[in-house]
Amino acid sequence: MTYALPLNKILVAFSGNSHDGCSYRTTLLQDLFDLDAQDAQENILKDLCWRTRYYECSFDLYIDEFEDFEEWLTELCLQEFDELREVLAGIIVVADYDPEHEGKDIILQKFANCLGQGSFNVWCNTKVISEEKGLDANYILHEENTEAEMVEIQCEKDINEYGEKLGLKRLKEIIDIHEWDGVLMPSCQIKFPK
Amino acid sequence: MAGSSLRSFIKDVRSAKTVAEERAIITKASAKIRTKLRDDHLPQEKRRNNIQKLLYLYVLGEKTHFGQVECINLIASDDFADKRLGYLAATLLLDGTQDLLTLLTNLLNNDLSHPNRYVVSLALTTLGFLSSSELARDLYPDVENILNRSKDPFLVKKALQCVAKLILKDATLLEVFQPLYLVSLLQNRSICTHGVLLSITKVLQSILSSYPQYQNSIKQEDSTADVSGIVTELVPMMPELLTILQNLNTKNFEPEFDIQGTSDPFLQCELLCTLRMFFQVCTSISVSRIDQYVNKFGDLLTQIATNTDGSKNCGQAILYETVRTIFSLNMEQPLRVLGINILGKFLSGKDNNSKYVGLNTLLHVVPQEPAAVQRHRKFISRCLRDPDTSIRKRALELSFAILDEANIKELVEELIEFLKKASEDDKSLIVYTVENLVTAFNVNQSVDQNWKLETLVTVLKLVGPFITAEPVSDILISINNATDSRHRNEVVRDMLKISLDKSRQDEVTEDNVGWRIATIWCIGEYGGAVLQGGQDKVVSESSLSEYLVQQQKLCDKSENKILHYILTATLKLSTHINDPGCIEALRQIVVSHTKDADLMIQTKSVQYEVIFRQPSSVKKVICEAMPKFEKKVEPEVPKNLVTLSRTKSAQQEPPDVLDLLGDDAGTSSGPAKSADSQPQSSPADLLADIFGTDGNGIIDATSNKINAPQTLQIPPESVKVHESASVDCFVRLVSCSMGIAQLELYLKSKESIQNFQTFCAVPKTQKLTLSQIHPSNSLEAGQVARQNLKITGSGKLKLRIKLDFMRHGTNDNQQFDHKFDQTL
Amino acid sequence: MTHIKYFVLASRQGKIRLTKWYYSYAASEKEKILKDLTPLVLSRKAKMCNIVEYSDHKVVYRRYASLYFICGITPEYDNELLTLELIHRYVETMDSYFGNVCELDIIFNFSRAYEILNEMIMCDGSIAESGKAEVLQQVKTMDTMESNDNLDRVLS
Repeated sequence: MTYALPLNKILVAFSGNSHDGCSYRTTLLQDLFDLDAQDAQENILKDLCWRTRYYECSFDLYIDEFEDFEEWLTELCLQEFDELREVLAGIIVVADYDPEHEGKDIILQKFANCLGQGSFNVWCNTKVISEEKGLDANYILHEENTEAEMVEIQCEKDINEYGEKLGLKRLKEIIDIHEWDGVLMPSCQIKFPK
Repeated sequence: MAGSSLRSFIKDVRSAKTVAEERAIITKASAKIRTKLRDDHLPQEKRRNNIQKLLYLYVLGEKTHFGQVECINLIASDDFADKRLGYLAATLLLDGTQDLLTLLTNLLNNDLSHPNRYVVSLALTTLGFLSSSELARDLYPDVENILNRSKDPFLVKKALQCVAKLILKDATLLEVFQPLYLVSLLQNRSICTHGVLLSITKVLQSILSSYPQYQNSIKQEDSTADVSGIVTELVPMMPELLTILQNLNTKNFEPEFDIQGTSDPFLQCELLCTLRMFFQVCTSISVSRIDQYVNKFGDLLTQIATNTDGSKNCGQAILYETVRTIFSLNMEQPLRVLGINILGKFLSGKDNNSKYVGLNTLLHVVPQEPAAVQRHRKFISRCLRDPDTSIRKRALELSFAILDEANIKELVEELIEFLKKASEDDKSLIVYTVENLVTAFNVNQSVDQNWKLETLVTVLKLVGPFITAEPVSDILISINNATDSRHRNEVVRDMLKISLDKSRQDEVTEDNVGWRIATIWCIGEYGGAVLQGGQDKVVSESSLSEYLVQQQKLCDKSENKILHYILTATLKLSTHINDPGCIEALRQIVVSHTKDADLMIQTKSVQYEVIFRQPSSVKKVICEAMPKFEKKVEPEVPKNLVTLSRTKSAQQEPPDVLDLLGDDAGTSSGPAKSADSQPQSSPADLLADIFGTDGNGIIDATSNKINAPQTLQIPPESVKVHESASVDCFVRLVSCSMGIAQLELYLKSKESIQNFQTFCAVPKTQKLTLSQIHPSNSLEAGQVARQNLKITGSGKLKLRIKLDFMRHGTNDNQQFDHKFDQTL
Repeated sequence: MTHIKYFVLASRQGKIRLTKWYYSYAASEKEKILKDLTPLVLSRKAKMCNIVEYSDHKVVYRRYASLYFICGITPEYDNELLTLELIHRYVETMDSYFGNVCELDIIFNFSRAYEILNEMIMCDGSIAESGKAEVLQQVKTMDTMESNDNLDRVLS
């Protein structure tokens, strides 16, 4: 028999640079998790509730800031943080993403693999992407059993030509479809919000 | 690290952990459900929930067999919600082979006469999904009962769908099925919703496709039996079906079935398809009264082809189905041309899906209407530049299918443009292009030989980094066989200039292995001739020797293949130069490999070293230029198509000529009898081995153009691999070496068959290329057709072959496997 | 005509959300197909055609609402363009049923997704009903009967 904590913690990490991640802290936390301005300044928030039209579940929020993402990620992957990674449902990184940056693929790859299968790894890009750069506004890096997804938080549209949600809406959807521990998926009683 | 709060998070986790140990135990969800399902006292409500979860696990791909009995329990319940879920679970978790189906028979039997139409419909749907031939026989009367009694379109539709499946499962039901039911149903417009019409087409399709099998079984029992019965009885439906299709195509009164201005494309396509099968079967069993409808159908096809709005996908779907119908019934020529033009329009559009479908279909119909396809060449070439690789691939295949002497230069220009833009990802397309280009050049003999040679060198320069040894060899053969040797020497000189001139180094990169091999080989073969034409700063005795020395240094262990070329070129060049320093440098190349770890290289070097020491008169004879390389020619090919035959002078070549291209470690033998008394294969055979080719490419391509079928003979060394009432199949293994096997498949028909197609599969580690069927894909009894197969890769040589053809107007297919003793 | 071999829904993240087989594959074959399908389809770039050759058959797919709707088809019989139309019809029907269908709806109501599919595509993989309203009406009537049943149970 294994005793384990449920994987019900979301780690959100903002870039410490005032021009990108950090300045989004309050609004993003408010919009995404429905926090008030004061809570949004906390580092640990317990027993929050994630609600969808099909289920609700309680979760904890860990909020961090970093100067250098690569260094922060390396630290998170150290053995001493094993116990922390084991209870994370997912990680949301809020920072500029530079598609020109050399070695970006390796960083994303590392990010995708830092938690186990079944978790979500989202990079909220705070940089405005120009259309002609051709960066797919809906990019997922697929690894063996994990993936890292790019969400363009500055995206003007909230739905693309394929009916796929973009920006904050997609971020919400990623958390919605996460298979939370303890939430038994098929209840199959349709509750249509009128 | 400053700023990071990770440490405070882990503290929080640890404090929570002590509390958690008294809490939840997380085990696999499926185990929990299993124990719950065993508990008989669970309330129904809960059981349903558990089956829901079980189905969820099924979706996730987990094993769910333990829930099967519980599905049946749910079906047995009186509660509609239980039944609905139980039937859904049954269609997902059970299959037609399980013993549990016997348990199901009774339940289905009851529910098929249930007062609630939805219970009946669920039972019908499930019966369709799970029907075994046993269930089909047992429950058919219940289904028929519904058809006889019900006037409810919903139930009639469901019952007909079920009947369609049951007939496929058990063709003897054709004896009991009442075709008149369909005839009268079609006349009852109040029942004939689109859904009912669709299900009528499904029953018709089932009858028409099980018919040949049924007919055979009847004939075997009683050869005088009248077997056209059921189909004849269906003929009165023909005018009705034609009218419905016509009305659908021209009028659009029903908004419910409108898709962007097109009326129910699904029904239109199914009707087209059903009529197509109808005509095929009727023609084969010569049902009278059918002729009057053929013309009508032709008119209707013309009308659909002209009137349907092809700007949207749904209209294109109908047009596409129309074209397929035109060609599979081989309608009159104007209609076929109309069909080709529709496909041409697909190519000129923006939508990639219709482009793909258009190219794919054109490829199949080129033999039927080559001239009409030609007219769309501009758009085919445009598809070569498409960003989508599957479209480029089809466009390439089609380009080669339409290539002929008149358009070869223009088309090749397009192909070179394609190659210029091709990248590493297009490797297979590049190899395909080069192989077919060489073949096309061989076939189209009357086209300017000099232009061909120049083109091949240009191609090699472009694609050398991407191609394998085989296509390089093909190009070398073409250089070798050039008829205008003066021009050939000029071309070679230009090649050498590019390779040797340091200032032109960027023109060919180091990874261009194909180019390097060609340069090395040309130095060996034509170094002498080029030097005779005069030395200059770039091309001189020392620069040629130096190049070989450099190349030898570049070779690492993985490039032994190149080393073979270098060794032979070294030996050959040494007989053409006078500078003792250069000759010694060359000798050192050979000497340095006399102790090589690779046995083949070692042997070769030792033997070459012996030749090096021979007097130059002897050496010169041994190292004479290669004779023309003769590709083995199939006897049935008219001689005028093949000028690659060995010339007289070549035949007079001294027997000791060193006929090595040097690229093959496995099959090349020692250099000369003087050095090695091992029996040698004849030069031509040796070359055939080295190149792994036998001229069959020539046949492929000509088959596109030769219209009069020629009589093929099955070679005596072929093996019979399949035998049936309509066709026998033989295979001849032409060659199998260096990861490439060439095979010929011979099909001998025992009756008249049309639209012959073969589908072949090879193990995953191998890749298969099929040529066109030669001489035609329609055969009269006793005629033989041949198809060439090329398999590359590794592993045991195995083939799975499916033959698909029309006999007596119906589709037939046969499948078989063949294992060879050889391994790639 | 349509004569599909299987219908699979996969998410953009590569998770399988629904599988329906219309051709009798062995369990190992199914496993292989499911394993191959997602990378095959996810690797397609936006402007590429929606038809991919795979193994001994073809795959037709459409991307919608963070899901890939994938059909395996028999090249000799199936009309690729019509298969695209069929997928589109399924998406539309689900959209009407759920009101802007999203992945979460399908996760929690996968049995409804199957019910709708079973009304639209018959056991041999060909289209059973081309009327969207008809499909919706039948599924919804059955939903009502279920809830009436539940009501009866509560009352009794």
